[in-house]
Amino acid sequence: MNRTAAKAIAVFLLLMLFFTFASHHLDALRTPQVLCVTPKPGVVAGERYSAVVPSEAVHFDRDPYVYVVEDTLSYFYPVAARRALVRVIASGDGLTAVDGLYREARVVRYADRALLGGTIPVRAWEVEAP
Amino acid sequence: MRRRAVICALAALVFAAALTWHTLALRELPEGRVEVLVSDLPAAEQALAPVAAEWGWTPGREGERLVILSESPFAASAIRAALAGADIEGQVLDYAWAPAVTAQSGTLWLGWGAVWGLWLLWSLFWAQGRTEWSRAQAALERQYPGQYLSDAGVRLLTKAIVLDVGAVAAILALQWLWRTELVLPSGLLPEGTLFDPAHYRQWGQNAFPDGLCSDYGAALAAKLRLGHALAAVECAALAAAAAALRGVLKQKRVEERT
Repeated sequence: MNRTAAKAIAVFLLLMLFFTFASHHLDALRTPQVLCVTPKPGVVAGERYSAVVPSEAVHFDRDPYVYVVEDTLSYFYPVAARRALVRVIASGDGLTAVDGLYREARVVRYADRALLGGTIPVRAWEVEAP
Repeated sequence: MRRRAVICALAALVFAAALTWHTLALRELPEGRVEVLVSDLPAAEQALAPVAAEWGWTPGREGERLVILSESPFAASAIRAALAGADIEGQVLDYAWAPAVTAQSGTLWLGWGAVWGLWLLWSLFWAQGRTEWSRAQAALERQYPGQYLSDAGVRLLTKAIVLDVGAVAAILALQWLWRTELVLPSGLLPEGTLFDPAHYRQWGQNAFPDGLCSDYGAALAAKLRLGHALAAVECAALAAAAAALRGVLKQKRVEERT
């Protein structure tokens, strides 16, 4: 009886270990990978603006918004993308001048999976978008 | 015991043969690329010109499609955005993941082998622990602990040293398994449940569309099938060898006891 119980506990622990590993890797695979840009001063439609981002970084859902990548205090999800509302000032030639972003903000330009929700754990690609 | 030893040797042979074939098949990896299927190729080329200049691509034509060589996971997104910006409708086939996924099929056995290696180590540790526990119980019925330790000291010390080495190996293997990053083709993993056959069928149809698949796409699909079939054979052979080896060790222990 004791032997059976010990064996059952050992098998349970091994299965727990296996599923922990599997879920960790699945979580990593499901975490969107993002390529970021920093808003830069630039010219849009002949006017100079202080914060210009590529147009594909700006999304519309009633109000325009971008996803800003920020470091978190979480051990498992150290980086997250937060939805931030912006005001579109001008757009053209694939660029959009926006208001409402801080200078060093890392704005998501591309993501390899759809970003859904207000705050999403992401993995930031090492290299900044061209 | 002999039957298990034969199974173990056969599994090792099958594994070696599959690994050799796999290594030979993966000598040439497919290049990562994105294919664009549009009705108006010149317009698409024009729309992609800024993004191509930005990323350093040189789009080429291959029949009725545009081909962009890139291994970046964001290449397809950039191309889709550029086409959408120019109001051009087209189909973008993303194969930027091809070299990484194909190469990964050749190393899947390492992870699987590490799991079985850990299982063998655990079995060995469990069996030896039980053996020593029963020996100690039996000995302590007729001996003082000091006498028992004096008699069995060398054996216990040897086993303790082997246990230490095994523990270090297990920690390193677990650390490697934890840190290893898997690569999957883009869009393969569903947003919802993993057990949705319709999603995988749809993904297969989107990635390798019937009648629209290029020669490259057909060759890639064949290589992925072969690579993963060989990986499955390698993993099955490893599992069979590990199970047979465990059986041999168990049998040996029973024989020692009797």
